[in-house]
Amino acid sequence: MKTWLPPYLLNGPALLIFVVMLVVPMVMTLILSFNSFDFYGGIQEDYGWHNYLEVVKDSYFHEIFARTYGIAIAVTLICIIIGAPEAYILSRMSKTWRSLCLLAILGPLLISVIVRTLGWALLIGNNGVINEVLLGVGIIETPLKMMFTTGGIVVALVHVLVPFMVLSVWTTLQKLDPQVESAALSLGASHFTTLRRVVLPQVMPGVLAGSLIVFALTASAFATPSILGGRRLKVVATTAYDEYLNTLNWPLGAAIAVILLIANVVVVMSYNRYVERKYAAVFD
Amino acid sequence: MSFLTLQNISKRYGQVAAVEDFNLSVEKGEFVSFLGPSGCGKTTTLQMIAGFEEPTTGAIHIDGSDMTHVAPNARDIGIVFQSYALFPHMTVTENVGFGLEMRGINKPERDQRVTETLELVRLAEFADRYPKALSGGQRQRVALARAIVIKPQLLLLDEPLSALDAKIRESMQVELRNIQHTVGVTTILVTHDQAEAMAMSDRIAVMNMGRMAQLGEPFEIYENPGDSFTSNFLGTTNLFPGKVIAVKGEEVSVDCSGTEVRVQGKSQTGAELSVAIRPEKIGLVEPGSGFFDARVRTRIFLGTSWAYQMDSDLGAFNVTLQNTGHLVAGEGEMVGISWQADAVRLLGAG
Repeated sequence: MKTWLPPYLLNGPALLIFVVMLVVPMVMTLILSFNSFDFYGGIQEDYGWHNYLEVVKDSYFHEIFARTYGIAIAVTLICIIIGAPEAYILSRMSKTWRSLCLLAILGPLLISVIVRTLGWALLIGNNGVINEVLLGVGIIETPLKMMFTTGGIVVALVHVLVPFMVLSVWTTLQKLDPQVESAALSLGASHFTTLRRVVLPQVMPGVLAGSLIVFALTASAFATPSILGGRRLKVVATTAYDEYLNTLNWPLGAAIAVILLIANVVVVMSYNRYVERKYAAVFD
Repeated sequence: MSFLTLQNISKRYGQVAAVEDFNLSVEKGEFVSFLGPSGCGKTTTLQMIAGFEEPTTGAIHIDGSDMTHVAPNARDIGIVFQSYALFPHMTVTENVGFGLEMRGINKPERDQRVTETLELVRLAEFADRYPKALSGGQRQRVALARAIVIKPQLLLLDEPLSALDAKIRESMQVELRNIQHTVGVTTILVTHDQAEAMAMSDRIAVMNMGRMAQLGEPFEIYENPGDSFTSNFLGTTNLFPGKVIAVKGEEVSVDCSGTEVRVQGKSQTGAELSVAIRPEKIGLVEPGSGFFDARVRTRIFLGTSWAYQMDSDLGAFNVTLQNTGHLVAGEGEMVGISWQADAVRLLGAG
């Protein structure tokens, strides 16, 4: 047998799955996005940029894209603020407490996204637990509007995605030489200065990698914005879904999906390149 | 009062005592080593001097002031860590300048002192590199520069050479000692390597099981070890257990497995003890003309010396002979064993 053949054969099954399950639908979606749609005739077999032009020109879509990326940035920042200190504290805990806390942090990932989001709906709805309690205690007189708001979506997404940030920072923290902190202290730095000048810069690669995961997952999130955002507060993923299933304008839905994909890939790749270039000289 | 004093220092973790009743006075400018096997409490003692651990009992004074409960960042101590603990995201200059920056020293003066110190450790041309791009020996010197640039009251070295390979380690011993002399800083070295401790220190504190076993100048404690632990930890020693059969003034006769050995020292008839002699102090003579005869079991050539393993009525023992360019006894041969009267020591049974 030729020596170059076995690697290809070994890769064969995985390659087949990727081609059938990923490449084919993607290419079909891409082709579909160039077709046009007629309310009476359905999908037309022609090709053109009109779907893309519609998305680019219509301020309705601008707002949806702006909201999506606004939510993605907000969720990423909040995940950094919550997740990075959480990982640091975790790394300082005793073994037993650490296992318990890790379980609590990873807990959300063990529950189906739909169930978890419905849980949030029960909590933040107009007749939800939070409003009932606040009304009952007498702190507020009318229910706070939390359901169907951007804020609600952000909070629920942070809950889901913060474990990714914690795990990412935690991994870099484990590579940190514990004597480095002692060294900074012995040189006269305060605990806060040690954290800011010595620990934080060293875990930045972890923070940046975590941000990448959180950002990409938020920008393409569907279930949470769909349940907590409702019909009117749309993000890109739910818009594409609505175009497919409600308006039945598949070509427009496909175009939206393709734009979302391209935008995400561009953001993620340029960010990754920036991080790699910045830290190449410093870390292994 | 001495510059650094440790008074009755103990450190206990629950029931376990890591350090027990440790006393030490170090003079200004002195280089003292804590030498002992792992788990002997030497690192814990260093951690207490540095302020990372608090002693359970006892007091630590530096230059007359009580430092027992002072935070590590207020002690003005330079430390070289075993892993070097360099800041990987800072250049050599930034690493070395960090301590000065924390002391609020302005940039021009900081730059000048960093440059001077980097010249002292011969790293001037590496100033703008990151630690990742340095060799082990260079990282070690950055760590040293970072610790001494702040002109600390006290310099602590925690196994600083253990991560280097043998050749660099030896040259770094000399270099470290020279730099310490130039700077004149009082220094404590923690090590498990007896050659390192002997090569570098003014005095060595040998530690065993949380206690100080012996304190003294390297030559003094090598020649006059107080117990069999020190004797075996500093270099190697042959121990012959025996019983005192006669004492005549300063001369003690010991019965070692049926052979009578005469040793200068003090003891009482009937005492159980060990006769100790270092391998390099044993001479080989014609069979029958020494104190007793032995048979060469193995002979290993080490370049500058020969290492012999001997079998005799007293048990197995080692002999080291200088290589003089001539072959002496071969494997299987019988030889006579002799030594200078003052080369033998009496140690408590053990």
